[in-house]
Amino acid sequence: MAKKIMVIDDELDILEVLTFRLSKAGYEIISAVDGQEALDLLTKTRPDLILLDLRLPKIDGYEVCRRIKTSDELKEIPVILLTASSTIKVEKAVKKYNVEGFIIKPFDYKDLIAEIKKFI
Amino acid sequence: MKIAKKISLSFLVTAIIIVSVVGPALYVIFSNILKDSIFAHLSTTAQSRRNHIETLLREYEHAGKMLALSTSFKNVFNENLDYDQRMEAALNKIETVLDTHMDFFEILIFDEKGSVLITNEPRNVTTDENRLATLKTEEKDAYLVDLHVLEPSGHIGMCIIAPIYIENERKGFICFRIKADEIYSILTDKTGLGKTGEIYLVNRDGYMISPSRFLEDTFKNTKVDTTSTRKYFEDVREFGDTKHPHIPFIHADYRGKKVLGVHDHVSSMAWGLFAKIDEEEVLRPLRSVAYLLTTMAVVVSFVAWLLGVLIGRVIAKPIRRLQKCTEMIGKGDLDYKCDVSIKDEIGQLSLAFNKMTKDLKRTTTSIETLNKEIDVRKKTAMALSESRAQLKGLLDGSPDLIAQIDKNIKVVWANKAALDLYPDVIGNFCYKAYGDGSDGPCKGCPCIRAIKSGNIETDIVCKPRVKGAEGVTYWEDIGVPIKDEKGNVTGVIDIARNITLRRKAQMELERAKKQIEYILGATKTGLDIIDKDYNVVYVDPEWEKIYGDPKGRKCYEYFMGLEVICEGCGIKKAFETKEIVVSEEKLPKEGNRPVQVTTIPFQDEKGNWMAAEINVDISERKNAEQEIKKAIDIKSDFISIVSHELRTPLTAIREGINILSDESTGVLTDMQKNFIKLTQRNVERLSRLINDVLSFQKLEADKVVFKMLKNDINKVAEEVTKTMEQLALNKGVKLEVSVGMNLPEFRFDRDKIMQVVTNIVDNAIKCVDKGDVLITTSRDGDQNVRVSVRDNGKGIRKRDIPKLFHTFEQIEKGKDRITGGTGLGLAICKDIIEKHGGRIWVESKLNKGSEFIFVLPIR
Repeated sequence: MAKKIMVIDDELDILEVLTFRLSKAGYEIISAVDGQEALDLLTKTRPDLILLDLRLPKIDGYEVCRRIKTSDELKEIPVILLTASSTIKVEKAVKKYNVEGFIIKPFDYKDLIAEIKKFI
Repeated sequence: MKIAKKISLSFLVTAIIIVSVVGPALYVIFSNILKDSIFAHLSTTAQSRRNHIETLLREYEHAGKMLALSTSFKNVFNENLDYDQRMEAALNKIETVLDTHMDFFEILIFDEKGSVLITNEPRNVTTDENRLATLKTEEKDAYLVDLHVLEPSGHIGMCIIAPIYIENERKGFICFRIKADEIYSILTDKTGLGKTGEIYLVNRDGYMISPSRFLEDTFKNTKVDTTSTRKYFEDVREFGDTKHPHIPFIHADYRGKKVLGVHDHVSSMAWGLFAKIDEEEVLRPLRSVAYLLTTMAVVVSFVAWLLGVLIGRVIAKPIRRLQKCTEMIGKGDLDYKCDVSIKDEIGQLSLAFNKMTKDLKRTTTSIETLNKEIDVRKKTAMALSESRAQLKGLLDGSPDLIAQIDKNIKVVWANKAALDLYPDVIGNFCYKAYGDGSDGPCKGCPCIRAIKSGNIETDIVCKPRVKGAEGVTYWEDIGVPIKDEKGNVTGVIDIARNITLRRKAQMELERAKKQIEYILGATKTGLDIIDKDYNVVYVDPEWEKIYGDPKGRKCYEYFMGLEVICEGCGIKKAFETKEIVVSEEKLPKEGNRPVQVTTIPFQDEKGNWMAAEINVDISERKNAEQEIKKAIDIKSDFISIVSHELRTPLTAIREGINILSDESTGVLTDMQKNFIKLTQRNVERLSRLINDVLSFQKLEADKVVFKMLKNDINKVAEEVTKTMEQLALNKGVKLEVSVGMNLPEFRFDRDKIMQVVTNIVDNAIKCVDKGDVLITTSRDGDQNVRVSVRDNGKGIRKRDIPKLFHTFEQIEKGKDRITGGTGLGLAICKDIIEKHGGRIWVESKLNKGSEFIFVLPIR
């Protein structure tokens, strides 16, 4: 059975290219455009990995991170942050919420795949 | 000697003897009281400052002791943890400590051998503290290292060194470096120390280790060898750390000036604390006492002498009169009468004498007396006519108009100058010919006033019509009253002097002054003149309105409200150098209004040095500077935000193009592939540009943390070679690496140095067409490692070399322009290398090739 990846990004264009790429690579994709939608979908779909943008409407990426990592049910799911913020900020967030990895935008598709392959 | 003289002399001698004993005795008593009070004051001041310093030192020691127990610092030695993680945790902790302890500015952790494991100051590796720390064998929680110059920053400061224990085994030390500013501020507080008092510290070797009020750059440069320091070291030997007697006394200080001083002892650091004040300043109030005493001595002596003279006279007078009387009568003056008013023995003797003379006189007559009288009268008449002629010559020779006017203000007589101007003046009313031409007495006429008051009167008169003169003329008119023997005024001498030229010059001067003052006021420019003793000699009127009367005030007090001459005083410098000094000041009495002060030294007509100060208002410039600073901050934030915003759409574009180029959406024609490659190339370039702008902006704003950990430079060179090899091959360039043997591991930020080498190699590959690029690492002396990247490409023109490391400078503009470069790469490299304490440069020959070289210090 194909592994499930949830992609959370408010940029629809980025969602589209990612969905295309990752589907081609054989993953099943669940997409969400804001923090609220992501959290709603998480418990229902239980993905194997989460790609998370930090700047999101409604509930931002940091809060989504916190909720995932403090929930007994979800904290085992690996999270990769996907962001255009500066390296320093992201490193801080990674440390604070025990996030598994991060990729800075604009990213290289090969790097992204390599990062994902580390976990699933 | 006469009797009167003898008496007066003996009075004078007695007075002088008394005064010369009492005066000095009083002076000595006063001066002792004054000195005792100053000594007491100095002793308490020294003691309170010492207590203050000791409290501060105890606080430092305590803080060091507590911080050494922190887990993050202990973990530096915990080899069970990941190296990068524990070092990073320690760095974060260092950041927090520096934030909370404002006095601390550098923190180092080093092991038992003294090598530094981690620090917040990357340049900082070879220090004295680590050596010192290991020298101390006794087991102590924490201790302070004496004040010294902290390399490499050059600050003066001290260190707290605390051992770090893990399970009762000492693993190493942590060193907190503290600037001496706080201690110095306790010492240099001038409260209660007048104009010359100061407090300074001397270390156990007798060198001054704190700022002096009189010398610059004293730290360990000035050996203080005075009676006071010698006494202090004797006390230290005798009493050790127990309480010293602190006896104050007068001695010559390190400048050779006599001072009242006291010493104290900061025992924990073996510092001698010296408080002193110039004797001259202390004894200044005594000077007036001395003047008073001297004046009193002179007055008393004089009064005593006067008394002596008077008493002498009273006794000697009747005797002298009688003696004179006999002498006169002896010469034949029979009219002379001896004084018989005193009813003592001498009086009776005189009475008898008079009777005898009276009888003698009756027999004598004198014709001689009459002849003498006639002779005297003749001589007087001649002298009178002679002096009249002289007077007339004198009056006629005078350029002033002189006339005699009677009580009815008719002219009786006039001199030649007056008659030349007004021939028909005599016999007329003075105002008719002489005055302003009006039909009555002139307004404010000094002659009429002189006649009324009987005093000399003066007035300045304007005469519109004077023969032979152009326009209005001004005259100074003086009326001198003439009085008869009873004191009644009979007339007046009128003297009129033409002062037209002087008056016009004065008016001209006044107008010029008003103009200058108006200009100064309108441009908010202040003008003042200061003499060599810093007294305010002149202040322009606008300023005087704000600051008040400058008379008798010193410039630092008048403008700045200070008790002593301002620090970095421009006037002082101007007097020393005799050159114009330009400085910027803030005026505290005008809400810190900023001014630019141009101080111009000059000599007045007597050759005394003075300084003129022109104070130009620069509020607007200062505001503009503030605005610029704000604008730069906004620019920086703007760049950061925009760059981040650009990244998101760029990601979508890049991935979209990549998907097309992969042909995962369908096969492309050659033409389509061609344009997609072109688009990809430019997307990559745009993305590089954004990254470079961001990282340069961060470096510039000092927002980058350098992870200074031990690394192998050869590994960096090899890794760069590996990643760049393919790129080189694609261009037909051979990339080789030659690593130096026996290079030590040393501290540098691996990612950043990798970025530098990659950037240089990337440039080299772009410049070369089918050639070689060689990376070499080697040792450069004892202290440095050298990395070089050499190519045999186009080379760089000499005139372009200086521009290379600047932002957005690309050489060979035009069709040869290197493609894909952002113009920021080398500027970033330079910044990174310099933040490591290293140096980067280029050596190049046109058409032969270039070599980029950087050296890094081994730490």
